Amino acid sequence: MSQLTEGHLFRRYDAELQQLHHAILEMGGLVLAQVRDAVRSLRTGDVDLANAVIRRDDKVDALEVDSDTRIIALFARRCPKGGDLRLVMSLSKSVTDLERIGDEAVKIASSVERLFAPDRPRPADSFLLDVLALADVVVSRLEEALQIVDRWDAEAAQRFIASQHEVSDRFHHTLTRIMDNGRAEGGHTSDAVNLVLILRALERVSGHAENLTEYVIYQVMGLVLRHHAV
Amino acid sequence: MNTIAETKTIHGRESARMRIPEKAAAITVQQREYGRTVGDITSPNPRIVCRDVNVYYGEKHAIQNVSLDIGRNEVIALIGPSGCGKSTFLRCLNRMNDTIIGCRVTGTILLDGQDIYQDGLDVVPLRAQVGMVFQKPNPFPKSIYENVAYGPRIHGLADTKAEMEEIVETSLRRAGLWDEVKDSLDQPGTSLSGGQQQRLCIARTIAVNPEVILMDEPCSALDPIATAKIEQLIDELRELYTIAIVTHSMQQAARVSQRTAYFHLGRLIEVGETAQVFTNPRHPLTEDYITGRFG
Repeated sequence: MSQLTEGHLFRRYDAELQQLHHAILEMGGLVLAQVRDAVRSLRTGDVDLANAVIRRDDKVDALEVDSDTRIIALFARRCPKGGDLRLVMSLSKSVTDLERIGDEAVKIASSVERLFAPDRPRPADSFLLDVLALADVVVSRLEEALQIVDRWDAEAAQRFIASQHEVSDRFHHTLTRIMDNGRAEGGHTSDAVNLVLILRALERVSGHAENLTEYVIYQVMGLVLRHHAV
Repeated sequence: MNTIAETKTIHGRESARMRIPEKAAAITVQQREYGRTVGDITSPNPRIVCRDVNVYYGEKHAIQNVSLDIGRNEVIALIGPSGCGKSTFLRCLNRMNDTIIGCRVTGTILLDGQDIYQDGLDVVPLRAQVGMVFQKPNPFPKSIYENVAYGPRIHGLADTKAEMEEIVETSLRRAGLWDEVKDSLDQPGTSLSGGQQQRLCIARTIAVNPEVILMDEPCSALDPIATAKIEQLIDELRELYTIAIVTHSMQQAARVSQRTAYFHLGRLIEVGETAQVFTNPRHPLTEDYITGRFG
């Protein structure tokens, strides 16, 4: 049990906070799998796998509703305060970001369905490889962010946020390359559009992952970092 | 030193070394300095100024070096576990502890700049200036009218019957009770419900023109509806008076007060804006208490 959730005189409260944390981690595990599978479908051109990602989004939505229900009950029954309040608020905000990561996985999968439609030629490898390299970074970053949420590791969260600009730089570089050179290198315009959409979705996943780490800092340190607020 | 937020704001595309936030570092220091009050004890516009207040019950050191300002037109909530000294501190503010044999108070308590413990001070007018509402409603065994009129009469605040009637009506109106009792002013105060009795006691306190109202768990014997009415009343009275309330209900403290002071074993551990204390307390003892971990 985490020190953040244990130690209440009313012990059921410990369990409720712990269960909420587990529910969010479970949801995190599912959206991570969604993003991984969406990226794998892009790498392999597996339209069936992309379709499975789209269908599985219902499960993400169900977990969002379940977590929200738990959070509302916690507010109503326990009136959390101090660190407990920050913990519940952090997890509540995390639920929203996780659900949106799930939506981005669906967007990636939808683009994969269009890119690898049976009646179309396979997209040019040069740009695909660039996007995939970035996708691997994003998957790894999301995994790291979820581990930070799991451990409530504020120091790791600070390191994560400090390194976020490197990922942003890569996005901009790859995007520029596709936009500027896509046509010159003979790629199909709609391929470029779909790859840009995937790139945007990956960028948003990365942004949501950063948000998750900001909520950890809010819980542990009581500092609000959103929108660069002080 | 940059805070993490500032660092994040400025990092832009450049690499930035994240630093331990000042606040987090300060908390670490404060955790080591047990016994020193965390937070700003001062008020920009104080009605009451307490410095190094100590209270002894015989050998027992019940309040230890408490310093705290209470601002004009503010509600300050004093919270903490049973026996922490919050009620003892409250009772120092109008010298109610004088009635306890063996009780000794040291330090300074100023009301509008005047030392309330100075030699020769008459405590009767002091207790009109600093009125008190107790846990259990305690109306006099008299009519509703007489409960309110008693104080102004002994303090000579009304020269005529009409003046007294005006004081009674105004006090009952301010206490939110007038509409409920205006047709039964001759009925015994004890015939009212618990919540009405408590509002009658507040009207009785108001009737002698206090500057400060001390409330010692004023809602602990009341149901939620009566409690809500008293809390609404506290919020309205804040415009006219300074209010210090001792409460075991953290929800109540969060609802009615602008500042909250947390007491523990006779010490003032932390004081701060109520929203800050209940979302981001700076002392681990406060955190343990408000989250229900204190054992």
